[in-house]
Amino acid sequence: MYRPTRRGFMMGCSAAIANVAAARFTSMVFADPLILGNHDTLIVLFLRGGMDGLSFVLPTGGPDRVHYETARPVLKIPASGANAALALGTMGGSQFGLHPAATDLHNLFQDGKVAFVHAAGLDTSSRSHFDNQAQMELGTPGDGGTTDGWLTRHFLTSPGLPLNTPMVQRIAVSSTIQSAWLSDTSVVAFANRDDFLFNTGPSAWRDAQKTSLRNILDLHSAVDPRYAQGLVSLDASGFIEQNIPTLSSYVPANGAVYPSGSFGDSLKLTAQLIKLNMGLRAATLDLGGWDTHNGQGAPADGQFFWEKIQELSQALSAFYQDLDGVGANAFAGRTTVAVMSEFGRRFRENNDAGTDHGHGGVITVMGGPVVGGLYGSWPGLANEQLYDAADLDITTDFRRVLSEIVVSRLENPNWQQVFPGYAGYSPLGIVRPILFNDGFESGTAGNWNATVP
Amino acid sequence: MPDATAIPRYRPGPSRRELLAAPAPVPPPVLRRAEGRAPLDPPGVALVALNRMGFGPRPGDVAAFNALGVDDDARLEAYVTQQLDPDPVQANDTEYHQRRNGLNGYPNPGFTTLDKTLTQLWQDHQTGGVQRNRPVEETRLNTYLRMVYSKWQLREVLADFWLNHFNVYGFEMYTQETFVHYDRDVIRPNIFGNFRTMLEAVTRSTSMLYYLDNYTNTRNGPNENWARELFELMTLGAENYYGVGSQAVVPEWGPGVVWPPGTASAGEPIPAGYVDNDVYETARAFTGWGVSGTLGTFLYTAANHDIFQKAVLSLGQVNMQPNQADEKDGEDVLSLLAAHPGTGRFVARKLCRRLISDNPPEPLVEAIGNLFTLNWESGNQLKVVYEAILLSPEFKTVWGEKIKRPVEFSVSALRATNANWNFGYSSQDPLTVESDTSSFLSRQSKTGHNLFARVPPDGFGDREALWSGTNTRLQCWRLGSWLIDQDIDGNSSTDDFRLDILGQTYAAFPALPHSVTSEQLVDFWSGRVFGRALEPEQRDELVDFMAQGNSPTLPLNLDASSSVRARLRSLVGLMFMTPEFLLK
Repeated sequence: MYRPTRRGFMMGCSAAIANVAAARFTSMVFADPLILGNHDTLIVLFLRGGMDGLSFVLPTGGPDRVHYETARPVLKIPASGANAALALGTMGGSQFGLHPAATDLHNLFQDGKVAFVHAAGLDTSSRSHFDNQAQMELGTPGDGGTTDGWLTRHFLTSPGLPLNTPMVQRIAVSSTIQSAWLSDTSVVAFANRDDFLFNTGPSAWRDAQKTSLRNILDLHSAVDPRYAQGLVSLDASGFIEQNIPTLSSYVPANGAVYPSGSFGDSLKLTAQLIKLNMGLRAATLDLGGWDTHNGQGAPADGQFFWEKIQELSQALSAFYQDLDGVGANAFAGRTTVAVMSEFGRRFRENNDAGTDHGHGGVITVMGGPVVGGLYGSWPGLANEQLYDAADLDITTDFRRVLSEIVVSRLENPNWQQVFPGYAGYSPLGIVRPILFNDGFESGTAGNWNATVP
Repeated sequence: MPDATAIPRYRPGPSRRELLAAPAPVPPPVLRRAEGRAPLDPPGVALVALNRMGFGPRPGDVAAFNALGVDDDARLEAYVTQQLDPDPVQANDTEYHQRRNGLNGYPNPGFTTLDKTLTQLWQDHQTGGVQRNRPVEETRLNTYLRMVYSKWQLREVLADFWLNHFNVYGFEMYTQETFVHYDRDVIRPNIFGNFRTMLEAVTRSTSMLYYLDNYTNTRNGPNENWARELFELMTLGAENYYGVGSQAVVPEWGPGVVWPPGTASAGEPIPAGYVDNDVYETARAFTGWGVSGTLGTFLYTAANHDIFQKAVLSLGQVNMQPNQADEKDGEDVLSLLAAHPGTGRFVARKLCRRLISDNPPEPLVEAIGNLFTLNWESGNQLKVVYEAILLSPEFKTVWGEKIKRPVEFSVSALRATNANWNFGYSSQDPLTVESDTSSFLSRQSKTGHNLFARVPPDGFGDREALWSGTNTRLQCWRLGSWLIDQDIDGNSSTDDFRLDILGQTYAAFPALPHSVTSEQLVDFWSGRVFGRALEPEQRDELVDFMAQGNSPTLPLNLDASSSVRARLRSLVGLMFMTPEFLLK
């Protein structure tokens, strides 16, 4: 297994960060390298644009099936026959199925590695993409003016985690930074390893230029985030160049095949980082294209929504397969993926084989720690059961899902600070608490035990 | 959501002249500095104006600005007056004109679509299928030419502002073929004019009708995509959104504040904001507004229009009777939105954010918003609004409460170094973008910011937090250092680099041989890149880099050493990497 070298890490760090890092790395990596791997990684995947949850996980039987077929003459997924939904089980007395393009994800579901939380989301009265994305990522429903993201607060309040080490503790696999990281000045955003190198300009003076740049940034990095962020950029580039092999040299395990394109590459890069055991705790990824006001398409190969679901399903499945292993390679067992979107879409399709903005949707949680199944409280699709007489209602707040992961898997008991104003901590049991998973108290699990009511 | 009771009334206020002379709600000028920042002082009005009303100074710009008047206020006023009234004759914008048309020895950029009519664009590139993305690509190259070389810098800043305010993603079906029209005929003619007029041009534009799906919005199959973003992103803004709920329970904007004449609810109370039902009613109002499939032009189809009564922004009262004249329902909605004081405040806040600070002071936003709304029917509404912002005390005193976004980063680097960049098509292969420019565009995209490339309808964000990630920073550094290394003939043994670092240096230090000390080089290039000297500690670091262990006062013979010349280019690249270069 690939291990970071001490020299490589130290060279990638500024002096200030390295001083802090030295203690931690000495005691953790070099005394007992395996301990570094003894923590979970959370992947937050945001489906930008408002994913149509009712085309993803849908009723295949019961009275709501009738409502569903009536509201969606073009988009409806058949309950049987060609392109039929893939059976998931029952919830609230109705049978549910998964979009037929999600065969890989369905296999994982059958293995108990996928949870679907239906009628979930951000329960405000807004149908705005931008308000809702911001408020979910800030973790403060109804308040888009929060000055830090929920992941920022998680790391600020996470017991025993030095914030600025290791270098790839927190990443945004993205060209720009997501709001979940707002005010976190040392999260590393990068979209592609091979583009993240300090390797342009006259080569003879590049090293000297780096030294001078570091000196300039050091002048004010203690007080000015613009200088501090420059330093993190410089450090991260050096660290990544030295410690992360090129993506093209990376061979996914177990024959996993990621879909081609930037999303598949992003997940592949994330898997690579997890397997390098360099301390990655959280990563944010995006997949856009879900704002399907038109041309969402009937459930058939080649249709727009079909292709989107296929890409999502194949990528998540390849990611799991890539991380699956035993012993020191049991990466999947400590990796959780949470997939969410700013809203579900309108129950009734429009005239353009599409759907307008709606309310409740599906939160998908995948990974080794997951207790697979259908979760949530199904509100029904009869007219009087709809939100604003138009949309699937929300019965599960997205914070209920995320706070469970924060406490049970990321071992941070401070959910009230991660989600200020949220009072309803009540785990659904979507993930196995780390205590029972590992069989011994690691990290701050004792703390967790003591604090959570 | 706004507290309706705290919102000032819509009422006839002071005249424009009075507002400009004595902006009552605005506190007196105070020298302000971004908090928690390195101790760098505001650089003077010339650099404020050249960086925030434009894309940074080219050589000579600061001197030209300072020659405009006897003091800073007079210079700023003269510069604002000039920039608010660009000469419409392209030939008088000399360098841009020559580059745009391949005159005076500049290579011809090979543009073939920029003068086509909308129908020609449509028939050649949409239904005809010829190089579908050529119109948007040419517009992008032409826009970079303007940003770098046009003297009408404010016009380019504002064109970018409005193209993002009314964002369409430029590189998808239907927008890519018609983008020339969107930029040239929809946005640019209205930049200094009237918001209502620009809004209507956008509403009727082929690009927007497709991008937000209104072309398919019919009485039998309403599509609310356009209506929702019209409210949320283009007029009232999410700050005036009351979510799901009844129109009747939205509070009034303020006691006695009523719709002005010329709107569908004249004399009736103005609601403080909108709810989803306003969106649905508006979707109905725009049913039938579409595009001619053969001509690519706006086409209203009465048979697709929902003729029944509607209630928009009227506290639930019907304000559009059934069977109005063709297109009247939509026109009514646009007037209500343009006249609503919430639109004034939302647009004012965005403009102040672009031109002054990420967090503009609320009293200024309110004053500008009121001015915007008072002038909603005026033909020079927007010019009046820009003038009030640019001559406000805040404009000239605030510095460093914004950073350059990546496009501004690279354009300002090209300007500071008097770059010779073509931004055109290859002379060997007229179907292909010239190779250095093609590389530039791809490197620019990796920063997360390139022209017309924002896929969601909100346009690229203006706040620093979005552009502070490590990827953005590193990609800008890589781009800056790549720029200094590109040469014109592709032969690296000759010193014909596109960024004229050597030529500018030689012109400043003409004595032969060109022997210049590290201190002189750093001071000269600090003047070009930052417009002034840096604090001593940063200057020392730059001098140390250039001296490489030698005395800072040792003359370096540039003629004799290609290594010293390369180091000089790296010095400028290093300056591009400093946080100071990002400030605006």
